[in-house]
Amino acid sequence: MPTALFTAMVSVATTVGANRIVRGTAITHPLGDPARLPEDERALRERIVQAGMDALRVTPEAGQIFQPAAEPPPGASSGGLNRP
Amino acid sequence: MDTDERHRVRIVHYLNQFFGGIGAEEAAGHSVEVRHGPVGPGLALQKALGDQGEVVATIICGDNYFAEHEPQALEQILAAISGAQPGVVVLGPAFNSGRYGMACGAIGRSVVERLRVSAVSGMHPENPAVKEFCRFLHVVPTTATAMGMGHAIPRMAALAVRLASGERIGPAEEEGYLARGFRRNAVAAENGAQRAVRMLLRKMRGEAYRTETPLPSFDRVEPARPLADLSQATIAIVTEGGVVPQGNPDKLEAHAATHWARYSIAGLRELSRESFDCVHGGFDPGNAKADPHRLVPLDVLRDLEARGLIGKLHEYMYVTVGNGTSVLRAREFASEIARELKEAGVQGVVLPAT
Repeated sequence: MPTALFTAMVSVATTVGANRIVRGTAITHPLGDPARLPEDERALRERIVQAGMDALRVTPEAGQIFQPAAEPPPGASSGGLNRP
Repeated sequence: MDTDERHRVRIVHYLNQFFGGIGAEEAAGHSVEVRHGPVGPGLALQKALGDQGEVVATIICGDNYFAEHEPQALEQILAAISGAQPGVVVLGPAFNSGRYGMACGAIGRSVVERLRVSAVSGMHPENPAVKEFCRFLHVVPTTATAMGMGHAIPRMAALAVRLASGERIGPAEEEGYLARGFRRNAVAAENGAQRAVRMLLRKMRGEAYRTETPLPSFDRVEPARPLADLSQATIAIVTEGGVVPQGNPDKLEAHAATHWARYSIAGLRELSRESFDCVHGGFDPGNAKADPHRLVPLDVLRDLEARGLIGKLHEYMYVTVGNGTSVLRAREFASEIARELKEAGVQGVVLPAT
């Protein structure tokens, strides 16, 4: 079954043969960032999870890396969950 | 210059933050530091070298820092190595530490390819860095933990000195390093027909025999078909991040996990720090303890579920600790968990890892 692997250690994931690799933020906080304010951190987590959902929806190349969407510029609404 | 000095090989030694004496996981973000002479295990390395070599410099870098800033860290480290003008570079040993191994491998490879200097490391055969880097540098096999330091260092020292002298190193099995995948022609005492018949006779008698051509083992898995409609799909959380209920009721080991566990998340919208803990021994769990969602994004997944963007979240989350977990065991865990997921009608998996 399709599996989205979330990790900051992308090179290890590629080496061992994972096919849907989502780039996490850092080793101790792949789906977060303690340096951010809670709302920003949550928005970041949404973008990372969304990259995983994208990975589950497509047929990847072997070892394909899915990069979470970039942070929207200040003033734009946060979170990326409104995609179809 | 006196005779001893002329033959003393200059050696640069690379260590992570732990073996470099900076600190444990909390210091894994330590940036590149260069010291004169040997540090920590470098002292044993110097002792093993005797007057054949001198550890002129030690480079220390945090495992997380290297993993998260590889291009810059690599340039800094390479510049420092180049400046010290070594005859050979010794890295680690990294034992079964994945991040440390990857750093040793990446640096070793760059040293060989860009500085044209030999590199030697030591790793447990299952270290993922072995598969990735063993053909670029010479890697001595070690135990999984630092208990094998006393065994690894003299072997690394001996190989380092020979490499620095330009000596050609023989086959992996004879010389005691991990096979690099190169083939060199050699003349055998008996011809191929004789060797083949000899091997067949041993095989027929049930005696041990050694193939001359080991077939490569590929562990490529075809990507599973994608989900046609996420909004109808059941998704399960499987993690090696060691996020468990407080008290670790199933006693998941921080290292070399022997099992996995299953926890109900039915009705749970969040993983609070009060109710959940992180027991993974391979990194500093402070951030994950403060907010488990930094490892397992239950908050966001529940949100996606509520908005109908995914069909539903499976009622159980599956947890183990991926720290020095034997590959064989990890495969068994995966089969067992996959069987349960299939029976429960799960269609896709979210696998947060470190």
